[in-house]
Amino acid sequence: MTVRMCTDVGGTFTDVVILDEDGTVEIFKSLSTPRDPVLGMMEGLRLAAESRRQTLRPLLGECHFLSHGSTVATNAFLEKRVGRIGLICTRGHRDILLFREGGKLNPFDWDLDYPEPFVPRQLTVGVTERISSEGEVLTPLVEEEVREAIGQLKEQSVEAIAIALLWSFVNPVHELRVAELVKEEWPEVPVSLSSVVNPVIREYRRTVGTAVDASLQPLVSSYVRHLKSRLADEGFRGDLYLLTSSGGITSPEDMAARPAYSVDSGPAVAPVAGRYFAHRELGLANVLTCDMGGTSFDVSRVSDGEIGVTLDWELGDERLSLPKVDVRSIGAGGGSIAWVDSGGLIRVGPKSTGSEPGPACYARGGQQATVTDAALVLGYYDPDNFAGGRMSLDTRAAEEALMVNVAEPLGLDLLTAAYTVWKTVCANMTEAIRDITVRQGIDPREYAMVAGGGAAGAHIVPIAADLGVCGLVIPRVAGVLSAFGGAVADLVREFHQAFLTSTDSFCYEGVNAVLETLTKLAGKFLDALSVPKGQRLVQYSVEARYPFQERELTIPLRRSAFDSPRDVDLLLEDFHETHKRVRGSMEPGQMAELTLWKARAVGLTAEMALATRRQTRVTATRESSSRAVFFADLGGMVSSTPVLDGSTLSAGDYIEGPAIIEQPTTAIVVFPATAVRVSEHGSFVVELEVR
Amino acid sequence: MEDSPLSAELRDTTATVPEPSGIEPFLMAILSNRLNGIAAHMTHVLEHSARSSVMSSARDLSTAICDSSGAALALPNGFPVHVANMSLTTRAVMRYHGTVMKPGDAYLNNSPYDGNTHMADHTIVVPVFCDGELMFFCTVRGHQADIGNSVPTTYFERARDIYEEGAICFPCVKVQENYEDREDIIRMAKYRIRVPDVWYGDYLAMIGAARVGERQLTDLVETYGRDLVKRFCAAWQDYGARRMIEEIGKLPAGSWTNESRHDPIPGLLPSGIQVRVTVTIRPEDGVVEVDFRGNGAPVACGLNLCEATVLSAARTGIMNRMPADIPFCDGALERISVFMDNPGVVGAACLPFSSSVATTNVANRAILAVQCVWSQVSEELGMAEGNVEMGPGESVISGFDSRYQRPFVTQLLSADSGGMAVFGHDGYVDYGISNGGMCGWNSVEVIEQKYPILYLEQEVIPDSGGTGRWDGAPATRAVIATREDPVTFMYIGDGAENVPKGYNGGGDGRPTCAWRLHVGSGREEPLPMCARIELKPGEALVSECNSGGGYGDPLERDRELVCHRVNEGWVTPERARTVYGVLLDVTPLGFAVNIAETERLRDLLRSQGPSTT
Repeated sequence: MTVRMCTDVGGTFTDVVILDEDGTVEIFKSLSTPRDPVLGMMEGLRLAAESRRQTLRPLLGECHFLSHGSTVATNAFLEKRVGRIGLICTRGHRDILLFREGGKLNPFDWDLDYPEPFVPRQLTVGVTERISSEGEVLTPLVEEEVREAIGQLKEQSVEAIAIALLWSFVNPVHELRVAELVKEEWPEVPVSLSSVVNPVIREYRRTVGTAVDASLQPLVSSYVRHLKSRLADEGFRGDLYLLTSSGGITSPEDMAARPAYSVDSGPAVAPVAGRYFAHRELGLANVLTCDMGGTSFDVSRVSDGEIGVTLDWELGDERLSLPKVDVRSIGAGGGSIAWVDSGGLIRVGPKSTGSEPGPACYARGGQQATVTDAALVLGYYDPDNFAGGRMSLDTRAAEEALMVNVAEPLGLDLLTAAYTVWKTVCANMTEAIRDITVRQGIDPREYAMVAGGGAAGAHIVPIAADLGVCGLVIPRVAGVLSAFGGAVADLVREFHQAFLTSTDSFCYEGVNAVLETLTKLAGKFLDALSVPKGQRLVQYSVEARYPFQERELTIPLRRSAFDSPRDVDLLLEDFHETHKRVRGSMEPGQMAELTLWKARAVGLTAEMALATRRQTRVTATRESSSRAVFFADLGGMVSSTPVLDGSTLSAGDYIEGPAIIEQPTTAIVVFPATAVRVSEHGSFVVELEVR
Repeated sequence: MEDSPLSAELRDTTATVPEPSGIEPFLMAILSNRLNGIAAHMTHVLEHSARSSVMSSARDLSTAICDSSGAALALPNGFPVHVANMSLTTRAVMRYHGTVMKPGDAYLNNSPYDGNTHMADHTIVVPVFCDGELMFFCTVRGHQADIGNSVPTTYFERARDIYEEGAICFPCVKVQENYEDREDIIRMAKYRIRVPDVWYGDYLAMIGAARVGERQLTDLVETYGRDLVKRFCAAWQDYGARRMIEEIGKLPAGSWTNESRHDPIPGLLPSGIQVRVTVTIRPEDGVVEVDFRGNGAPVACGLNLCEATVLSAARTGIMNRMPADIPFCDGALERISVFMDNPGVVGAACLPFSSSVATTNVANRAILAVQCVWSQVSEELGMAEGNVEMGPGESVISGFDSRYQRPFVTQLLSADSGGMAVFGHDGYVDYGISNGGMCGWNSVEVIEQKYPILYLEQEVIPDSGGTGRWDGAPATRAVIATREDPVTFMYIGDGAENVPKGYNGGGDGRPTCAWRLHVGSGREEPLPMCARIELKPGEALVSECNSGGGYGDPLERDRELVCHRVNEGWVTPERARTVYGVLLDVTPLGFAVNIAETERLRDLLRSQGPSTT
C-alpha cells in the first residue's frame, strides 16, 4: 500500500489530503502554527495517522509522494520579515526600486505615504557599465567598483545580493561577471541574477523580482532544510515536492534555488483541483476555479486544460513579472464586513473581521455585520451545527448586528437587510469572475465552475447561474481545494528568453535557436526530476504586439520550430484574432513584433482515479431534518426546507431545490429551480436550470 | 466679460439634498459594480492596446460611461484633467448630432472650443443604443503622440492662433458609421500626422475600448431592462450628490482667495501668467464655488485654458482633499460650481486663440491655486504646491530612428517627482499635478527599445525637497543621451522662477533647470526653460525637475524620519542639523538620532525664530 499526500499550510488551518492507491481520498485539518509551520503540519499528519489507526512513522513510510505548500514566503514578504539584502545595479539608476513605474491608484488621494523601496537606498550600489537595447556593450564593466560595492555590502552584513543591470536579459555578460566577482570576494553570500530569475524587459519589475528572490533565499533555504529533516526524522523516504506559484510542484532543491516561486503557491494549485474535477465529473477542459473562505474570494481560469499564467501581478507595494498563475483575489469572504456609507449605499468588504473577533454570530465580541451573519439569518447555516459541528452560532447577535449596521440605515426589515448583504457580496464575486473572463475576451458560458472554500456553498449557485457557466461542481474536498490540487499536481517550470523579431522580417535562425535553448532547459529540468519520457510535455508560446505597443499578448505556438513563411503567417493570424477578441480591435495588414519566447515544462503526474462510491439507493432524498430558509424567488422564508446530511448521500442521489446539504466544511444551498446530483466520486454536481 | 453658461448650474445645485431612490439597495450595489467594472475595463483595454508610450506607459488616457443626457456616471481612476469634464466633451457631440445618432456611429472630438481639453487629446464618443433607445455614451480620451501641429510637439506654446498651431481640429466629427471607419476622414488625418501608423493604432485602440464598453453595456441593459437601468442612472447621480453634500457639510463656511503664477516666457509672456482664484465654501448648501473670473482675456499664444480644463482644474483642487471613496460622477462633481471668464486665458476658449497647452502649464497653476486654499481653510487639510513640471525631462522628442528606419514622435514621461507635502504626509514621489500622480513612468528599457535615446541617469537629488514638518518630495535628475541619430526635444517648463511654494512654515521647492551636456568632455551649457533643441550624437540633455514645497515647521518634523532620510541619502547630515535641528551619531549600520543633543539644538533654533530655508 502506498499513498500520495499533500500538506498545505494556510493562515488559520493546515490542510492534509491523503490519496490511497485505490483512489480513496481523506482530508484532515489542523491548526496552523505560524512560528514553525512544520509543527502544525506534523499535527495534521498525526491526526491522519490516528484516523487510519496508525502512527505517524508507518504512514510516512508508506508515502511515496508528499507535496507541501506554505505561506512562509508570502507572509514573510507581507510582514516585511524577509532577509536584509543588497542590490547591485547600473550606475545612475539607483532609484529604480523607488520610482517603480510611476502612477498611483486614486487621482485625488494625497492622504498617503509613498511606499519605501524594496531594498533601502543605502544598500543599493550602482556600478559603471552599460549595455544597449540591442545587447551591445556601450560602457565596459568597471570591476574595481564592483569589488568596492561588494565590500560595502559585506560591511553592512547583508544576507544575500541581488544583481540587476539594465538590458541584462538581452546580454547577461556583465551580470555574470559581477556574480563571479562576488564569488571571489565573498563566496558564502547567496546571489540572485536578474538575467536568470526573471529575464524580461522592464527594469523595475525585473529588478524587484530579483530582489524578492534574493530576500527569500535565506528563509526558504532554511525552511526547506528544516522540513526535509523533520520528515526524514519521522521516517519519510519518498519524494518531497513543493508547491509553486506556477501552479505545479517542483523539487526542494529547485525551489531553494528560485525561492521567489514559492510566493502565493497555495492559491496557485487550486485550479489544478478545478481542472481535475471538471474533467472527471463533467468531461470539460475549460474551468473557473473559485475559492471562498473567511476573508477572500479567489478565482482562476483553466482554458483547454491549460492554467492561466500572468506576467503582471502585485505583491504588497510591488508589481512583479515573474510568471504566476493568474488568480484574482478580492476581499469577499464569510468575515467581510457589511456597512452603509453616508450616501446610503450598501458596501460589503473589503475589510474583514478575520477569525478574531469574527462575525457577530461567533459571539466573540464582534459587533459588525458580516456575510456569515447574513447567511445565518437567511437560514443558510445551522446555528447548532456550523463547520461540521465544531462551532455553534449566535443567531441573535447576528440579527442585532444586521439591524444596527444595515437594516436601520437602509430602512429595511431584517430579512431584506440580510438578503441585501448576501446579494451584494454575490455581485462582488461575480464581478471578480467577469474580470478574469469577459474582460479577457472569454465567454463564461463556455466554462465549467468548480467551487471550494467554507463560504462557497451558500453563494456559488446564483453566481454560477448569473454567469451562465455550463456546469458547476462542488467536490467533496471543497474545503481543501488547494491541498487536493497539490496532491494531483504536475511538475511545472516556466522558461523565458527575450528575442526581438517581427513577422515582417522574421529571423528563423534566431527564433529556432531560442526555442531549441528553451527545449534544452525544459529537458534538463525534467531530467533532474527523473520524469519518464512518456510523461513529458513542453508548451511553447510567444509574447506579441503591434509595432510601438508596449503591452504584449501571449500567443500559444502551434509548433516548436518555424520552417516556412506559412508558420509565421499562422502566428500573425492568431495574434490578430486574439487582439480583436481581447482588446476589441485589430489592424489587418499590420505586422506583429515578437518579444519574449516561453516554454512551460510539464512532468505529468501519474493519473489518479478516484474511488467510485457504491450506489446504495437511487431514490428520493432522505431528509434528516428541516428548517426555515430564505429564498427570494419563493417570496421569503420557506419554513420546511429539507436539510440533508451530506455524509449520508450516495452516488446517484438527486436533490431538488429548495434544500440544504450540510457538509463538514461547507453548507450547500440548493436554490429553487436547481438541483444537485451526487456523482459516482461523491462530488456534488449542480444542475443550474432544472425547469 | 460675461459668465460662462456654467454659472447657471449654481441655481440648480443649492440646498437640494436628493432623496434616496426607490431602487432596491442590492440593485444599487450590483449595477454600480457592473458599470464601474465596465468603465475600468475600457481603461484597461485602451492602456494595453495603445501604441504611443504617452498612452501605454504614461496612461495619458481616460474613459467614462455617460448616461443618455451626457452626464458622467462612471469615471474610472484617470487623469483629473480629463476625468472632471467628460460630460462637457460628450454633450458637445450631442449638440451637433443629438437627433441623428445611430448605433455603430463614433465621433471624434478634440476641440477645446467644444468641450474638449486640448487638440492632442482625441476623444472618441460612441452612443450606446438598446432596442432603438439611446442609453449611454462610451467616452474614451487619449493623448495622441502627434496631431499634425506645425512643429513636432503636442504642446505648442508659441502658436499665436489655431492656424499657426496647425493641428487638425475635429469638432465632434463622425469617424465611424455602421461600425466602419469613414475612410476619407482617416485618410485626411493620416496625410497630416507625422506618425500615421501610431496615430491610427491609437485611434483603433480608443475605438476598441469604446466598442468593448458598448458590448457590455448592451448586455447589462438586456439583463436588467431599460427602465430599471434608467432609474439606476438617476439614483446613482443622487447618491454621488449626497456623498459630496455630506462631506462639504463638514467644512467651515467662508471665502478665501489665493494665487499662483506661471513663469515668464521670454519673448512671449514677459511677466508670466497669474492665476487668481476665490473659493467659497457653503456647507449649509453642500456647495463649493470656485471663481476664476478676472484673470484676463485670452493671450496670443498656446497657453490659454478652455472650459474643460478650467472646470477640471477647479474640481481637482477641491477633490484633492475630499475622501478617496467619493464616487466620480457628475452628481458628485457638480457640487463644485465653477465660474470663469468667457472667453478668458483662465476661461472658455475662443477662436482663433490657441489652447494647445491647456492641460498642463497654466492648468497646473490653476490647480495649485485652488488646492493651496485648503491651507487657509484648516491646518489639517492644508497642502503645499508641488512640482509644476513640463521641463525638458518631459519633452516631446522626434526624429528618425535608423535602427528601424522609421520616424518617431513621442512625449517622454518620467523623471517627474516632487509631490507637495500635505498635512500628515511627505510629498508623494511620483507626481504630476494635472494627472494626479497617476502618470506612469516610461520604463527606461521600453523607451530605449522604441526610441533612439539612452537614459544615463535617473535619480533623486539629495537635499532637494522643500523642508517642513512634512517634506516635499525630492526632485529628480535625468540625463538623456542620443545614440547614432540626432533627436529634437521640445519642452515648455515652468517653475524655474516661481518655484513650488511651501505652506504654513514649510520651505519652497527647488527650481527646475536644464543643461546640454557634451558626454565626452563633460562640458555643460545651460538651457532655457522653454525651447526646441536638437541634440547631436554624443550630446545629452540634463534635466532637473522641481521638488515639492514643504508643509509646517521643519523643527516639528519627526526626528527619526529625518534620520531615515539621511540614511537613504535624500538629506545630508548637514541639512538635518541646520534646518531640522536634528543631530546624528554615526553607527556601524548608519546614522542614529542623538536625542538629547537634538532637543537642545531644536530649543536653541526655536528661540532664534523661524528657520530660513
